[in-house]
Amino acid sequence: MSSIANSTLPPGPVELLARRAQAAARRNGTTIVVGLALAALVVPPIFTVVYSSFVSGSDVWHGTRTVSHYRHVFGQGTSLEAIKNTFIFAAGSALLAVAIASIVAFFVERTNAPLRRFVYFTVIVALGVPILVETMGWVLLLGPNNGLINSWIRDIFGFNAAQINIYSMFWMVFIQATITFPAVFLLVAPAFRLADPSLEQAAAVSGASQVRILRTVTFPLVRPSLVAALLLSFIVGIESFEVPALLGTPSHIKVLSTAIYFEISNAVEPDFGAAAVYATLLMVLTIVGLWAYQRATARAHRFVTVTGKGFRPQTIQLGKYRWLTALITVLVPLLILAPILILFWASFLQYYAPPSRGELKFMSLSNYHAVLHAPGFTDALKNTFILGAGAAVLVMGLGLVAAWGVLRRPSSLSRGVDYLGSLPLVVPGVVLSLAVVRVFINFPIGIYDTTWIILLALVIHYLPWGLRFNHAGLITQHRELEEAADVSGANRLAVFLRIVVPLMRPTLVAGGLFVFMATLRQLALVIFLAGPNLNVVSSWIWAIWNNANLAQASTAAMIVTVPVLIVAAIFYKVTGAGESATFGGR
Amino acid sequence: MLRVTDLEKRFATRDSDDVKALDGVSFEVPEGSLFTLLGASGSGKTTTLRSVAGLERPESGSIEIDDVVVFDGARAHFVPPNKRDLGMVFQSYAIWPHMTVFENVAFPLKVKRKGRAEIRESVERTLTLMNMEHLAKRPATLLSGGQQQRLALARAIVGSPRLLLLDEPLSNLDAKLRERMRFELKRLQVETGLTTIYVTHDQMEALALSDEIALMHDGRIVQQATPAEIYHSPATAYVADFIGSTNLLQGTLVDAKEAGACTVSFGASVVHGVLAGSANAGDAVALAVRPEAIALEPDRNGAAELEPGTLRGVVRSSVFLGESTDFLVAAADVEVRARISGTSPGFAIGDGVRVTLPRTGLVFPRESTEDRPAAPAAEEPTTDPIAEAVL
Repeated sequence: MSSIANSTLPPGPVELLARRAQAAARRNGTTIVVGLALAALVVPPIFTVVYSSFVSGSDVWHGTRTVSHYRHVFGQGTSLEAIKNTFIFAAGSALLAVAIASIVAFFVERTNAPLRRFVYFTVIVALGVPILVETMGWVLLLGPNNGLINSWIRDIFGFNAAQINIYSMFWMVFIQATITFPAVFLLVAPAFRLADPSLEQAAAVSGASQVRILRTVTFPLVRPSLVAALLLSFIVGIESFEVPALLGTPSHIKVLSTAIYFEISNAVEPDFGAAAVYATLLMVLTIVGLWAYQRATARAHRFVTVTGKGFRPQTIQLGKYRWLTALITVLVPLLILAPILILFWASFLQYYAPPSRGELKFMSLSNYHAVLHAPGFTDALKNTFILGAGAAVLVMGLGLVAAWGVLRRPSSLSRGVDYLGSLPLVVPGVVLSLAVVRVFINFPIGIYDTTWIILLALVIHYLPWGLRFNHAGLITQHRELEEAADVSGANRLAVFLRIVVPLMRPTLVAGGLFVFMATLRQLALVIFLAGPNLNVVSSWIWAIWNNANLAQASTAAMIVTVPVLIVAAIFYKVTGAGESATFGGR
Repeated sequence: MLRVTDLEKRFATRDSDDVKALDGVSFEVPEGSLFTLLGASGSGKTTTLRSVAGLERPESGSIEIDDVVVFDGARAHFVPPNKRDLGMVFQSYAIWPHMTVFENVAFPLKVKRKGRAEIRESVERTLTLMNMEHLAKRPATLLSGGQQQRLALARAIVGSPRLLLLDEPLSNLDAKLRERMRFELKRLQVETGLTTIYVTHDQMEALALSDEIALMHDGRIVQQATPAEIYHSPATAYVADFIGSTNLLQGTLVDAKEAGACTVSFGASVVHGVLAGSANAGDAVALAVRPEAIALEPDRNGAAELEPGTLRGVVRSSVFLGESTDFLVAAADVEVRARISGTSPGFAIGDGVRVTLPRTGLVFPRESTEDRPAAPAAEEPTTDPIAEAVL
């Protein structure tokens, strides 16, 4: 409280200015601090990776500026090939995933097809399985020699029958689509569920047939959601690393994300310049995709299909064809679960063989014993959980403070913080991994090759999710709840700790679980950061798979998948499956 | 106790010009009184209250609470809300759902680091005062609307603040409860003796509760007076229109004598009134007359000459209100609303009536009423949205 005394002397202009600045700083202090923290996290990696694509030499800051990397990369012709492949891969998998997802969503949400709940169950399970694990499972199913399906084809059609070649663009697209499918399904299912049935009833009263209603009313109503899902899966496809790395490599199908990887990892001498060029191209593609997504979803608001009125969508009775649709509701979950089931099988065999009754007698837990005693595995496991928990706490904490600034102290400053925190969305995992390496390899603070550098990458990568989760949660809290505490005499810290955080607890828990789960699945992000002495489970499996140790790879995959599934179950319990659609992603 | 001087605040709008939310608001509130900021939405009353609370920061002006300057635009001096020692009830009540009733009330004391025993004693005393001591352990989410309102009040007064701020505290309650809480609030304010600033758009609430009312319009205080004063001698046509369901009859000034006595003509009829403000003969004026001050009688002798102060009209519609009946009468070229008490209305639609207006009606110069509502309302001067709502 100010004294009366200082009200007698009017302050000079300089002092007045200083006081104004001080007042502004006090009001926006939280935002400024968070803004600086976010800038320190986000800007250096992105800037470094783009800048280093224009610099020759191994040291980013002391090389000469040049466009030779671009000339070199584009001169090879393979880079145009990589861009083309990336596009085909991303677009193909997006189209396929959305096509499957909308058909399944229609039958699950709008008809009385059997086993509808089973679809939901498998979709949720699939969201918890690391992509690397799923892809490995597909190799066991469709691989050229031991692949289960191929061996069936041989058994049925004879030894010379055409085999499925999983190492081809077609099957890469197919497998990426099965991996993108669960998130897409959760994105489009609500659109089918929430469409106002009175619009369809109006068409029916006008004399339209069932098929005609579907074509002219139902589908146009969900089209905005489908477009949004399409663009989102396109971005997921662009960024995908695991599928192209595992399936594209044997047949030399390069996409941008694997191009970056091979410039660094398999080369005799890492070519950071070329990798940076690919990384920049990848970011440009992602920005285009995100821009289109934002435009599409902004326009989608005009199609207000959710009126807030309580209604139940009309369920279409399928009649005597009902059992036919079971094909869809069984086949699709099977497609999702099959790779996991075959890995589960493989984890019990010391020498892999396709499932058969004859192999049952060789099953044992010896792989589990071996993996748990394998060098580095328990450390990797420990790292994975500590890093996941740490990243979850930091991301949600930073996200809460930043979202608070954006919503409660709106200004151009806090809007800037919002953009800053969302910036990592345009940085695919592989690129961020590269970028963080580039920043810290010559950095005076020795965090290179420590768990700290992985934590840093995880926090940067999941910041946008932290922001969005908290933004969505905080926007539902009436600001008067905080103002009441202000007036009650609580200072800002007390308001934060005693009002904001407790009220936001459900959001913080849900968001934290989501981030934790997502980190367990990450491979792309840690690919350049992990090393022989520093592993997380995914990078450990990656290394052991590349050494062709199938038995231990599949066992380790099972060991990490089970806890992820448990966390996934808690997550959906906490949030309700519908909400997670917004954050489906990968 | 509270001195607000020359507050100004603009809100940036998307179109070119900023809107002046506060345009030179000044007032003083003596110790222990209940002061009401009354006005339609957008009049600046809530912005004024939030400025006093420190939740908004005006551009200029000053605010003193108890002789301590909490805001001074000229010196860029601003005391944050948590250091102003206030109690406030919000429109949404802002009850913290993660706490019990007791914890909600205890919060202001806890953050001021009061002792455990003192907190318990104060909270219990306050809850008893609010007749809700039996609810202390209940989670705050399990309260009815009226109980939430009382809890919000309890939390606001528990720390004996220097100033109690109430932002439309009754607007979320149903009509019956609102009326009961009105009495409760008044009792509480008298018992505790807290200096109180009350914000409302409800003129009945303002009249019932206040020691003094400041009527706000377009970011300015149009009139500041006691309830009786503001009711009986509104300063402008806007005030007359806002307070009570006043008839504002558009006529022409015939002449004005000393002490404000004047006559106004409506077509062929001439009416006496008291001129408020200055106007010349022939000017367009508005005569403000309360519906309950108007007498109606059957027009038995249609041919007879009309006495001054009387209009001849036809009943257009009637609304039965229980203890009284409202009649809308088309008379000369104006419409007059008359409220006749008693149970037997006695007039049917289409009846010819003689309308007798009081000699004391206030006459406002029509052009000088710069703070009248903007164009659409001015076209239909007798329709007052608030009065409609009350009816």
